[in-house]
Amino acid sequence: MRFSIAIAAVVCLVSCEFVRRQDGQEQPPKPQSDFTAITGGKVFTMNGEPIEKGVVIFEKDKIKYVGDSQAEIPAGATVIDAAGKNVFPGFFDSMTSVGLVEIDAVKETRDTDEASDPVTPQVNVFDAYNLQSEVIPVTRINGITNVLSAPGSANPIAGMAAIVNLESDLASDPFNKRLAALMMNLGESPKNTYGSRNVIETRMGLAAKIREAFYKAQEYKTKKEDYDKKCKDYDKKIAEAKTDEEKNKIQKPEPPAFDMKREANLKALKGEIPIIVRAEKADDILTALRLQEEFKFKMILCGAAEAWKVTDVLKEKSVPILVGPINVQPDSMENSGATYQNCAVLAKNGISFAIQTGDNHNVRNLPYMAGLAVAYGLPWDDAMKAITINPAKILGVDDQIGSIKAGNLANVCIWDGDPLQPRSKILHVFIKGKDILLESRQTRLAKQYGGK
Amino acid sequence: MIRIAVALMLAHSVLLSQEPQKQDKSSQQQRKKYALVGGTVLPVTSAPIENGVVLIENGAIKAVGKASEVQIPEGFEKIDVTGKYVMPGIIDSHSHMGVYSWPSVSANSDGNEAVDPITPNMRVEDAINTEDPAFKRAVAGGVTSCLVIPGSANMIGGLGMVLKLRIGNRIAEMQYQKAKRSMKMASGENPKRVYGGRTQLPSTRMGNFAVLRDYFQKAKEYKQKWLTYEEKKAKGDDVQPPEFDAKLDALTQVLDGKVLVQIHCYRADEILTLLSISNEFGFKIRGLHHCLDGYKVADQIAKYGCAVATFADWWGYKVEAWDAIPQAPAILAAKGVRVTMHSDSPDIGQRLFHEAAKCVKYGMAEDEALKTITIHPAWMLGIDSYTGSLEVGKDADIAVFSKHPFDMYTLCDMTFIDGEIVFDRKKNLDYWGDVMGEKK
Repeated sequence: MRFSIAIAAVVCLVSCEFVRRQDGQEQPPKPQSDFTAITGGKVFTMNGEPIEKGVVIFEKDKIKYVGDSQAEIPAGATVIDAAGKNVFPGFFDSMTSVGLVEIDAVKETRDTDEASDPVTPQVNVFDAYNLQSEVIPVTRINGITNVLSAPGSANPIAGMAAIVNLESDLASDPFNKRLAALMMNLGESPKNTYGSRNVIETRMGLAAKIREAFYKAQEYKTKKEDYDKKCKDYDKKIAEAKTDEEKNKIQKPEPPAFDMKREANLKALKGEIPIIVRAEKADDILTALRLQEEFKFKMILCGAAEAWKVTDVLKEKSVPILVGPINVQPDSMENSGATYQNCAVLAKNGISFAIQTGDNHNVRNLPYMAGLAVAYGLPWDDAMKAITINPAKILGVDDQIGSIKAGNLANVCIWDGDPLQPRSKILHVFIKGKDILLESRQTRLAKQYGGK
Repeated sequence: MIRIAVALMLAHSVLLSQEPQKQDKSSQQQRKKYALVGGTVLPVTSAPIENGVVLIENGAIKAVGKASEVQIPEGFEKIDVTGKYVMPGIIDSHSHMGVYSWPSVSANSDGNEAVDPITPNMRVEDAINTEDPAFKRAVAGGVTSCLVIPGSANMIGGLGMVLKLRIGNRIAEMQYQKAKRSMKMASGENPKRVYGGRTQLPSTRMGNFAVLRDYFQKAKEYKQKWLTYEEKKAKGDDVQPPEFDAKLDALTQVLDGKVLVQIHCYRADEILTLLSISNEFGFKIRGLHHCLDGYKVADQIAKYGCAVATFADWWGYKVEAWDAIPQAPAILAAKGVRVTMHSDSPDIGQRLFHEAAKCVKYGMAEDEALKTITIHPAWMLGIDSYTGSLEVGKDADIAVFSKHPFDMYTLCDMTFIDGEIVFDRKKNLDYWGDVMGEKK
């Protein structure tokens, strides 16, 4: 008994340590009026040509106006002079596990993989997302304002990814989309997870498991449609019945038993949400395409280290891709064809893609991953789109983020140079119009120990 | 008489037939002489030189200076590097290339003899796969030397080796002969997780250091036994030698200072304990590896005088990496500690110049950041007299970059090892994984 109290005490102390150290709760917000105006900077809207000496005006959490220097600045607005600087949308990393893992080696802090069952479409990232994660402040101070946080790669059907603003206020709702996509995994990772348990050992088994789940979902859909029809018939007969005795004779239809997994899979099969499929090997990419053919869902490929090998099919099927991590090198059997030129090849073939890190603690390096793709042949403009407007469009949140336009969230950053260069400095990060303090637990430790 | 004459004639003709072969060998040994002209030269141990010249002869640097001051003699092949940057070849102070070679399947897992926490008698050259494709990628990233070491499952993992990345050779030709060997040690979560998971010693940090002290004490006594034996034998006494112990024999090399000591560590208290143990047993630590809490005890590390091999900004993957901050390398460097950027992976191993660039982002001076991948790792590996900077007489280990090494869009265009071109971006397409060139 004493032992378990001691354990509970330790856990409390440890979690209190983590809470106490969290950014945002300790610092007072910077004073701001309802209006903020960023003036004089080069504004890269991601909707057309950049605006030299542009003006961006926020009203509360939204962008109210983007235009040239002729704009009228609202009275009392907080004015930020961005002369000589570059204004970009906050970057969007479209594949991460931010908020789902605090320390990889500590099981208690890992919430990415519900590996109790290979098919878990019904589990949601939004039920696990940790608003108090230290990763959030660390990440946003390098210009990333949004991430897609997804279940991991252990399960063939892994659960529902969410898109968030990198806010840390417990009172805020950080979600741009709670149910952004269903996550599916092919290749070595789910095989390794379930192979040792003799549940799924081969790629054949993987695809079969996915098909089975989708057939069941389709069957469930048929039952539900059938039930709806029967209900209509029943209502009709009841209306036609003249006596109570007649009415009582009419059999009330039985609804199909509620099945949470099938409901979730059905959402994707009906096209209400896309399915993000992780596949690295060219053959696994082709398997994904084959499954998409069979079940006709909206597909987004993810990872895709060997996408450059199958550009003809990808182009033909117009499959958007979340490419990454860019620094992937051949190290496993399934990414033996990995090359830094992947993005350059895709761009050359007119394939729509985003650049993602697939990471958590290192999402802050998203700009340098995009920079690496540029070093190996991707045009700079394409690289910038790949971390802003492209992922927003691919994931259907371009009415909120990904570009600087009126009506979008005021998720905007000001840089003193090219954000893809490590020698550039970030000057301001705005999330939902708030000028975020460029601090984190790490900057505080640095100050404490004599750093800059 | 005639038979002798015939025999002599035959012998003579055999000798004659051997001579042309001898000539071929010596012409092979005549290395090309190069003059790298027109680029910005970054010697590292002296100021950058705009429009500089580097002369390479007999595998060494013959001259470094301004174009206006360095005469290019006859017989030197000019390589135009206008607009490019010429720097010392990059040195990776912590690599597992060859012992965890691609593909990363269990058959290629040869870096941790994790059956016992103390295995000082392991030697990496017994495991290095010289055909690991990672070596090619590293060379394509400007790396000319690296220290290949065992992993960190064991408190004492075994002997590492400094290599020059002479692709296409066997291990004897890759070994950097002039370099001392390094004994790899580790502390912290890794050993106690590996052995604790099997309910073996060590399973706590107490266990970690108890095991370490135990073996060093045994090694001390073993060394003394042999010294006593040698003394008595010299005197003419009839004595039997002590029983040979491979582990203790290897550890004696540490006590004797015959090998350098490189220790994987993370937490501040652990770092201090390791410095203290080294003093207790009379050996010197050359490099603290990873050492993510090192910024908290920078004064002590500076006073002790060892180098720190670390990451630019990795953090958060273990509890002992939770306090890691990207400002750490700058803080340590400001206190006078030699900081190196190491890879601990083939991925970072070909982009060490990006790691150094990140050091600048987080507060390190540019010239100091350049040292983190050149002269500081050279010192850590004990080869700083021979390489790690562009100085006359040093090995011609050189990397030519298309833009400044800290520019995100830079590419390593050419790599020289001992004055020979081991990588040329236009020719060695498979080294860096070109796919667009092939499609042409």
